[in-house]
Amino acid sequence: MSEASLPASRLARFGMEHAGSIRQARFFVWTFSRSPSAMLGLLLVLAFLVLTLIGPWIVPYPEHARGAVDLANRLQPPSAAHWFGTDEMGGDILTRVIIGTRTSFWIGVTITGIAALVGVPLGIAAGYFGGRIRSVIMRITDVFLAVPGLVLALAIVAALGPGILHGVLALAIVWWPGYVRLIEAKALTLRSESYVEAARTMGASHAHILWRHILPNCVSPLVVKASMDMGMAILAAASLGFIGLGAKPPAPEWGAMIAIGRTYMPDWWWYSAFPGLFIFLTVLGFNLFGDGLRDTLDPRSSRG
Amino acid sequence: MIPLLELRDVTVRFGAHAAVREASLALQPGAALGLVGESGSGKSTLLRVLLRLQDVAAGQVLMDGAEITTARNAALRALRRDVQVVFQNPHSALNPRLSVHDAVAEPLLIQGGLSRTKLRARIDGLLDDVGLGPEFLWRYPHELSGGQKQRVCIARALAPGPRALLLDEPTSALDVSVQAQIIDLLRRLRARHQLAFLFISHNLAVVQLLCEEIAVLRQGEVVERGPVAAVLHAPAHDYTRALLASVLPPGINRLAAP
Repeated sequence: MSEASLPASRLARFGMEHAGSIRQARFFVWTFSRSPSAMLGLLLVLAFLVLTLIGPWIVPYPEHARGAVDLANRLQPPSAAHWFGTDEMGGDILTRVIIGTRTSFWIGVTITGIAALVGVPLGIAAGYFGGRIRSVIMRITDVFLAVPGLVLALAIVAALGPGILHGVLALAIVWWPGYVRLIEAKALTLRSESYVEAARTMGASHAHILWRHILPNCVSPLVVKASMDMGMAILAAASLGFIGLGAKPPAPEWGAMIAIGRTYMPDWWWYSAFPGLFIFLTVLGFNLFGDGLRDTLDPRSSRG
Repeated sequence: MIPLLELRDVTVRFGAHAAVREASLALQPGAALGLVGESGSGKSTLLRVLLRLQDVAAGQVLMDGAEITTARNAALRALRRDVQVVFQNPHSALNPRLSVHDAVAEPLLIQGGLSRTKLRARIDGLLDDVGLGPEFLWRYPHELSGGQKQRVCIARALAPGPRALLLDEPTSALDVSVQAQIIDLLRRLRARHQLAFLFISHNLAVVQLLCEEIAVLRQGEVVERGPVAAVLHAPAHDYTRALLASVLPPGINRLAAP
């Protein structure tokens, strides 16, 4: 007993008990790193996260993020002082685009987070319990899936009134059915796995089976979908911003920036181009990252 | 003697199709009953009925003479402790996310009442029982061979200390050489723990090695029942004769137990 309290032997014991997990993790890293596109995705996602984290401290003109006006320098082309040029108020576009990563980050996390929190329990309930519970949940899900997501989101925002919070809320409302579908299908196949039946013959409760067998085996497809949806949610929120139903200027949001910059095309191309480039790279990054995760975590479902 | 498990005129329907028709069986404590029949004859369905994983359309399921046909939750606790199952395909019978330790610990944790050290000792003992060394404790299913996985499944089934094991073709997914080892292991475990076996197979030679009694199932009906030697040497039913002719080379005695 006294030996076990020594840090070294504790570490050794941890290493022994988790040897399988450690081997598995090393295998995942190896598979993932062998795919160039997955590594590019990882790089883009990491760059996005780093900019989100330290953005306010590295931007050249922090005051421009809050809409400071510098009319002497309006609509300047890219230069050493303003790498991405300036907008119609003289705001530094590099600054505003980098600060925009924060907005996009919390939009993406909130939408996918709410969607998963609503969709996963419903999907598990539908797939595992089946019967009438499944019919009710899946019919409601089908109704939501039958209407194009962005159109439904537009209608909801129009009803609630424009604004970034309402936009996020609307997108979350249209986003959860995808998770129900995914998890329902997975839980349905897991329900009849022999190890679930074996657990039942041991007298395991539903809660035990769901927590110990169903949920852990839903994690891989869930992580894959969530990482891909981060990109899609950011794109959808930018779309709402673009048509003026999401973030409002002068908030530094990519979609809203493109919308204003559009009127200055093509002579002042940098105004729209750089926010557009950031959206493109972010969405691409999350998609490639999600693809790579799928190849690693769920090898059977891909390589088609 | 009161049978440990008994089916009385059980019928199971899937839609319009009757998978099992008025089947009656009895498994005595400590006895070994072989259940044979071709694919789709209802063998596995009967086993699921005995485990209460499958509801019946008609008939009764009894344990120690008490009816458990529709028992739920607490009323099933005795069945869950005393009757355990080993499935056909060991590859899908283990959760890929649980180590050997966690898989074998599961039934013990569900029952509860074991301290940490006792739990560990019990798991070590169970793995030793099925011929797996301590180096397997923290492995995951994908790091095990088919035979090793089936040993883990058997250890897990033994964990609650059951009186009966229901074995659903436990060797048919394995290599021939491994099959023999598992059969041998099952025979030793049965003797050591005084287990009753309900052994499903379409391999009559294996049934002959493990069981004293045999029941022949055809299209959901029990067509013949009796001691293994009697049924295999003097089959009374045409179907049993056909089954014997189709799967056994002449001279089944050479496969008989020593």
